[in-house]
Amino acid sequence: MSVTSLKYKTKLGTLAAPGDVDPGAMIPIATTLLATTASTITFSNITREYEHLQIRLLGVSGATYSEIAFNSDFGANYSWHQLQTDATTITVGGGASANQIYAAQLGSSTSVPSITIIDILDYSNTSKNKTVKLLNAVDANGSGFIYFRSGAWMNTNAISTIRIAAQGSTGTFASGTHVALYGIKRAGA
Amino acid sequence: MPLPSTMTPIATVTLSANASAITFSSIPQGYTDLMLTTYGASQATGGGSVVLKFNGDTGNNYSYLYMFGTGSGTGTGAFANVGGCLVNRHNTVDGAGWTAISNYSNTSVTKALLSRGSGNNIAITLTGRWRSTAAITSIACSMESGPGFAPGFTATLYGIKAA
Repeated sequence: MSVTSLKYKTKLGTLAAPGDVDPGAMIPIATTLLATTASTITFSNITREYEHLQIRLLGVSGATYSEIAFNSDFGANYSWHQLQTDATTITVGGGASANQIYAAQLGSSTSVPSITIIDILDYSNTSKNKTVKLLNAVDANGSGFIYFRSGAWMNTNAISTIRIAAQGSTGTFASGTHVALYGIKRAGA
Repeated sequence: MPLPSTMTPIATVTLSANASAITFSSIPQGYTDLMLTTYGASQATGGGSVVLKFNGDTGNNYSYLYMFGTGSGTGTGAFANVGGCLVNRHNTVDGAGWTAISNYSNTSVTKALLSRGSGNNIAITLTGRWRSTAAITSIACSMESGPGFAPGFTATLYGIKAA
């Protein structure tokens, strides 16, 4: 019987052994599906072998919003800006010297969940501050919102931990919230 | 046994002639999210966004919300209890877009969509919802107005699998 191994190509690695399988450019790192409520969702020990990270969030909560912070830094080292609509008016906003990046407005129930895609660019590059772009929305059948947002963490450290908190960790994500973290590889890696 | 890629192309349709609809059926349930990309033009009249209907449901069980910018202004609005979700953007010149469908096989949640589209002189973001907890097994695509899609129009459905 032949043996096939799954070997993720990384920035430094290549496929070598016969039978190695390249699973593509988008690698699933970790998933959290809440069976009970939680105030925070944390991904830790994130390795540096990818080019970018992506978080795909189906959010359910009694809280109204969530925030994202890196490497347990809750100092005033973040900023964010946004273009948003509530289906009636388009407005802009932002925050400077913030303790976290305003991440995702959350849906009220599994009947009205929010959907969010967060891209964290060049997360392991120690020569750059870290930038985030995200798209977040809830459709509540005739109302709702869309947020088109950017964020920055003024730190050149490689990101190894990501914490998503419901309303400053004073709120809760509800059962059914689903968060998946992916690593995105670059060409030639 | 070889493992599949995380983001796997399930099916691609490239039209060789005018068509009023594109349908993806028998969608496998082994992924977490779906991603639909479209690029190409509408026929000589009409266009707009792509209308999605799931599992053959033609009832008014959908809603969507949008925000767009053009070279001269912006717009936003929402529609409730309509017969499909609008996503992406196309016109008689060209257009493109992607749509994420979250947790499409999860029977505990209604189905939420997130989309970005760009056509001639417009950039648009949309979100939508199908008020059903059924797993999505088929997606029917049609054009918002006019007879439909022009030759060369391409739609690809991807599956994205979480850890």
